[in-house]
Amino acid sequence: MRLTGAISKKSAAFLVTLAVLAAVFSFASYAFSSAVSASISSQSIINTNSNAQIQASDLSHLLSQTLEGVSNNLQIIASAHAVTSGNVTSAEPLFNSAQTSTQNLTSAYYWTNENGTLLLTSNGTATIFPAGSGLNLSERATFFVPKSTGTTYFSSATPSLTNSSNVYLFISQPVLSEGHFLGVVASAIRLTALGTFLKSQLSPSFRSSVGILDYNGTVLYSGQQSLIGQSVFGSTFQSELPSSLKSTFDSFLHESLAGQAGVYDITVKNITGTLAYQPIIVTDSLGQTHQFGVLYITAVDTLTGSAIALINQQRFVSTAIIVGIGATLFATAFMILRWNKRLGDAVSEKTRELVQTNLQLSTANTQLAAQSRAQTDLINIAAHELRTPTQSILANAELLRGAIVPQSEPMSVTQSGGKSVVEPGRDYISFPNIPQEDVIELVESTFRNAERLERLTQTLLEVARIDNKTLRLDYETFDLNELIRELIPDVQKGANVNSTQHLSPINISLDTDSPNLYITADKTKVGQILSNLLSNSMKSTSRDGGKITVSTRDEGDHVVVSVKDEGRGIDPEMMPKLFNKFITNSGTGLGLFISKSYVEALGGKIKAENNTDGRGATFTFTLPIKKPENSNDQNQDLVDRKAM
Amino acid sequence: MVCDDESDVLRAYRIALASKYNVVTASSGEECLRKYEGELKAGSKVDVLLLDYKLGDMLGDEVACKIRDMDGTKIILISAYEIESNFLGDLKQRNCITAFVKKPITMSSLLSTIEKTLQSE
Repeated sequence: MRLTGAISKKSAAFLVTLAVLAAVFSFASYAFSSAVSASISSQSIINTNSNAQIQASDLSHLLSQTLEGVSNNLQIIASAHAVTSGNVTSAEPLFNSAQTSTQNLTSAYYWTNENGTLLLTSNGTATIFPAGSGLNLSERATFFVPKSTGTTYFSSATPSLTNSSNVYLFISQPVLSEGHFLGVVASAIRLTALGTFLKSQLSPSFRSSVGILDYNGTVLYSGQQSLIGQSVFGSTFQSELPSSLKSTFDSFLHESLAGQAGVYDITVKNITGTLAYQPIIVTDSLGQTHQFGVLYITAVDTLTGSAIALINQQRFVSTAIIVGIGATLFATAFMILRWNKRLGDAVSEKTRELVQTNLQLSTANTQLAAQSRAQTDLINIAAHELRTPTQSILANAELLRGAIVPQSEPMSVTQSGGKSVVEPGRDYISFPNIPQEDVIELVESTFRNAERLERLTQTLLEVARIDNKTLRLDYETFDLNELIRELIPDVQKGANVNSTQHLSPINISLDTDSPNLYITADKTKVGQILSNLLSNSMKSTSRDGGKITVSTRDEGDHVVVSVKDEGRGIDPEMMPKLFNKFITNSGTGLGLFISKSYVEALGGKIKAENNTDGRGATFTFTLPIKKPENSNDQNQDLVDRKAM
Repeated sequence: MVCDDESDVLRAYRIALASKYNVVTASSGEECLRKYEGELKAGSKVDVLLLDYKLGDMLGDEVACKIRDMDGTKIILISAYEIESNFLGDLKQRNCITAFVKKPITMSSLLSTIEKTLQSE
């Protein structure tokens, strides 16, 4: 369907505006949802960051305390008399009780003399060193560092002497007596145990993992077991680090190993997370603090992920709803506008019909006015035609009366018993000397004019019948040529007595192929048609000795009859309306109208044309030879209509 | 002179007027003009012309105005038609006609109209 076909251009523009508005609102909703999503995401990240920092701080302190707890045990042992006096047997319970107190974390406590020779290992775990005593540990940092510093030493990740896959953190304390170095007491903390301990301290509702780096950047603990003992600066670690995280991680290392706490947002494979870090500070036996390492916590920003998923859902749903509402609005507006246009079209159609009707009424009005004028013309012409014979009859009667009635009789009109009595009065004039032949002519003229009045009455009645379509046809079979031959003298005689113009008879001749031409038609009406056409030609042919030719021709199913004269011809202006009513220079102007009506009623056609030689005109009409089949029906129809 | 294209009417006029006047008849506008001119040339002036309006070949007003242009005489226009008074007034104004009578008219009325017309200035 073409949009503009169903609705107007204006409406189409409105619909487009509506669609654009719907699109704008949809986009606005989408954008707003996106902004909310971003805001929630940001809030969520802040929240996650904050939680991670708190956890990191808590764990860092806990770890510091735990390490210092072990360190304190070592300080107590190192200052114990049994140790300073070198009494291994009496010192052993001290070591065992310290191990018991920190057995969750420590694998063992041990003691070496001033030469680094292992003197004693507590119970607990015997896998730190090979079995038996006498092992020299003087080359190990746990020995020579506290020996030289005179204070507590916190080692880095150190593999076990017995099993390098077991990595330990050692804390060692020098045994001093009055300034003399007497050996080292130390504790081994298995890093996995440390990790398990830390993990148990993490909030279970917080999806996070914990890790520890020592002050050298060596991984002391990580959720990823293989990284433990690796240096973060080493190639193994660096190769596993996603390239996108490198700069962040470098910053983290730089800052965290410098003793700073902080937090970073990290995103790996569309997963947003947090890296929070906190320095682990320990205090040595001299009361000095050292950065033991860095505790870091990584947390996946789960809230952000699920919230964003929800918001995305909400964004798509709300956008879809707005699009749906927009589409519904659009469709509704389209339907309304279409109905509107249909309504408009219907109104336009009705208006057009009204205009048409108005026009028809106006035309009808004009026609009525024309009919009214024609009616007036008819009355005027009829008056003229009635008055002419009346004038003759009136004058004839007056003259005849004047010839025969004595002058002494007065003329008056008196009222008697409600009736008018006309008697000769003052207007009476005597015409005593009218010659005998004039008297006879006056009498004959009176008859003629009375007949003329009657003919005129018949003509007017016939016109009324034609106008009312109540013409009756009486079919009979007759010889058309014979009818013409009979008519010619009557027409000639009529013309000669009626008009003063033709002093000698006009020659009227019949030109035909065969003497007899039988047709079935209304003989009276055919005779009337011929009389009218001949009279017309007679009037036109004003010169004496004029010639009129009537010709008939058999054309098989119809006859062609023509009346040709040598008269004035037909004025070209008159030609188009020649057969209309009252188109005349003389007479009623009804003869040709009646003739045409008769010819057509009988199933023929009539026409008039000026002769090609420039002298006179020819009227030609056709008539069917047989009675038309529908003729009776037509008449019946006319009768029926009349009856209604 | 009387002029009418209806022979019966013309005859009646002739008989009615013959008792008092010398009558010349014409049955068409053309004949009327021709005979009027003939009388004029012969020196026997027409005193009054009784002229029908609707002649076969011409209309009475045209004939009347042509006669006025020749030398002019008293003309009584007579018609069976309803002729507008404005038109008649105009014809009188232009001295084409002297009087107008409507058909049908009695011969006595006609005679008295002619009498009055002849006596008028």
